[in-house]
Amino acid sequence: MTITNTTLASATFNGNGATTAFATGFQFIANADLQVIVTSALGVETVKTITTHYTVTGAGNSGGGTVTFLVAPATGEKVNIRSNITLDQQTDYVEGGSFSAATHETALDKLTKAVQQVKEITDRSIKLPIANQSITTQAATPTASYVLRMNSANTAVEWASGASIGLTGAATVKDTEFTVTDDSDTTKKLVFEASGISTATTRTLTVPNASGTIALTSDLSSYQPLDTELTAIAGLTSAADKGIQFTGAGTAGVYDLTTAGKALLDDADASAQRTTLGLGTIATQAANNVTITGGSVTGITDITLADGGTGASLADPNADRIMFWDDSAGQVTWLTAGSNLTITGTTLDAASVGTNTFGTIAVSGQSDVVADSSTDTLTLVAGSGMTITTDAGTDTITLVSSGGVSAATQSEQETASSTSVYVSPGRQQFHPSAAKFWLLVTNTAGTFALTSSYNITSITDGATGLYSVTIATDMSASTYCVVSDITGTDTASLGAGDGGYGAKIYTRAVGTYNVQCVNYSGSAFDAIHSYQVGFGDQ
Amino acid sequence: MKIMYTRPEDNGLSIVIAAPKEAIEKVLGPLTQEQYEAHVMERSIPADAINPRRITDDAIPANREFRNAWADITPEPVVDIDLVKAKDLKLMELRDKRNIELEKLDKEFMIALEQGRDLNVIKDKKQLLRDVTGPLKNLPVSGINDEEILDQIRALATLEV
Repeated sequence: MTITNTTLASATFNGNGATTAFATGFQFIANADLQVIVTSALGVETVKTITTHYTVTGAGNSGGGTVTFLVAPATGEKVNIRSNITLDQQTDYVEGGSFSAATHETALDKLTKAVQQVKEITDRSIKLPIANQSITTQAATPTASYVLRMNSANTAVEWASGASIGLTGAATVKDTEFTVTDDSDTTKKLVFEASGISTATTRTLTVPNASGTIALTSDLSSYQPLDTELTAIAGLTSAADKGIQFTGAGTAGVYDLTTAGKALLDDADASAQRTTLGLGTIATQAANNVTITGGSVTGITDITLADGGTGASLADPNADRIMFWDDSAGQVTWLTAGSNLTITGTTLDAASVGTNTFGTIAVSGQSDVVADSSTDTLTLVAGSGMTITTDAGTDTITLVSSGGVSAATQSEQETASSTSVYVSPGRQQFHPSAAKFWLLVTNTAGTFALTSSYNITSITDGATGLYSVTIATDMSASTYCVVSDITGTDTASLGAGDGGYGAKIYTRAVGTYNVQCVNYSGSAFDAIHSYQVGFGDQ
Repeated sequence: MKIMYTRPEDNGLSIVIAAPKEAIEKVLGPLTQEQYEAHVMERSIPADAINPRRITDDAIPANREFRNAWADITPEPVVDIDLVKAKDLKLMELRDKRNIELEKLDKEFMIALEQGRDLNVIKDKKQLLRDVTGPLKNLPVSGINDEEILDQIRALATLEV
């Protein structure tokens, strides 16, 4: 085969606990030519064993093959695959023997892979720039705990003790050797990297005591010095709805912060706090000068007379009463108006008792009757045709005309025989001689109208010369009399031998009747005027 | 207050003209408008009246020439004129007028017969009168409120002696 793939090693893969297959990315000759390394989260590298930890496919493929783990690398672990062929040469050519091209190519492939393997390693090595070819990189025999450094002439590497470069012991840096210079670049920071410190490992940063001088004051000034009160507070355990208070010198504790208490604490001022407490404006008034506007004061002890009160609790009398001092009872109570006393609005009235209600009785054209005393008596005397009766029980006096007239009833009107009652406007129509209804129907240029009427509800225009009349109040029977007349414009009918205009009344009922207007020839026609008057019992 | 309704017995149109409210109140005492209208409706509209409804004065034709042809046909609350009834009405009027003229000619005929005069002139007049209803009788009419048709009916109903 040929080696066309120049990739030297795989990419660095991150384990996730699920992925097991990883591409080599480079070409390899045999499965055993690979080295699979898993680096833990703490940076510890472990070389894995083929078959035991993984299997390989794709040997000889120009695009590389695949390493498949039996157990997926965990999250935090990294996977790297590199070439690791044995650096030897096992091809043996026999003088005068055959020269196999395949055997020769295989040897060249291995040689090429060996070169790539070395290049992968040298690429990860510390190197000098090519322009520094005169520097001698061959150091002297090493000395324990020495470090490699350039010599003072910068021409060769040399071993140097820790003390010579300011290191005392494994973790000590001399203050004379540890200097951070200010190059006015404010973005630069001095960082103590602690990410590599194992969990639960303690590292101590020691700074000078109070007698010394702390150079990095710009950073430390933002920290509060150790303080007894702050330490006491720092020792408290926080919890919801707790406040901090000092319980003594250098001691502190927590106390409950209630919802009501917090509602008061966050009020902006005293007015808001009064509102929260529901005190109202009365809370701001002086004890000797309280003003109450509206509302009510209840449940208090009776205010004494000396303090301007009544000294008693009185119930609403639900009637007009007068408040007064009842000396016999020694208290204020309600006074009720007795007989002949009335309270009207805000006025107390006394009815007249034993006095004249009217001092004078006057009759037009007559002498006044004047009471002579409060016990004077007015005597009523019945004149001719008059009867006076009294009723002591109801305190009434009845004046009746003993020989006078009264309004006729409907029955008296209809009987039409009484001569001792008078006819009133509201009943005169019940007399047999009175018209019970009447009407005038006009026809003006073809327009019918009920021009005037009495006790008529309507007329109904049914056809030429034909209409019916509806009486508002029924007659008592259909045997009533209707007197009718009409006028027309056909003067030729006057004096004609077969008669003039006529209005036939027919199909009379108690509340209606029909009218047919006919001309001299007996034909129906629309009369100009049509009159009817009805008599009978109603 | 006017109300029209159709009579079921002859399909003719009746127009109720109510007395004024004040006139009725003189008999029945004070009435509200509702009581007044209820009184008129109860007293004046027969139980079997067809489609009684209020109408205004201008819903009634201006003259009564075709009164017996009035009808309530259209949905609007107005009085319509039934052209078939109008034709029949005028035909009947024409016959009445013709009969009067025929009676006059009968008298003339008897006098001429007694006097030995020529009777043909009278006979011709009587024949003309007998035929006078023909054109109107043969006039095809239908529908309502067509003034042109009504004019034709009027013209054909004229009797010139």
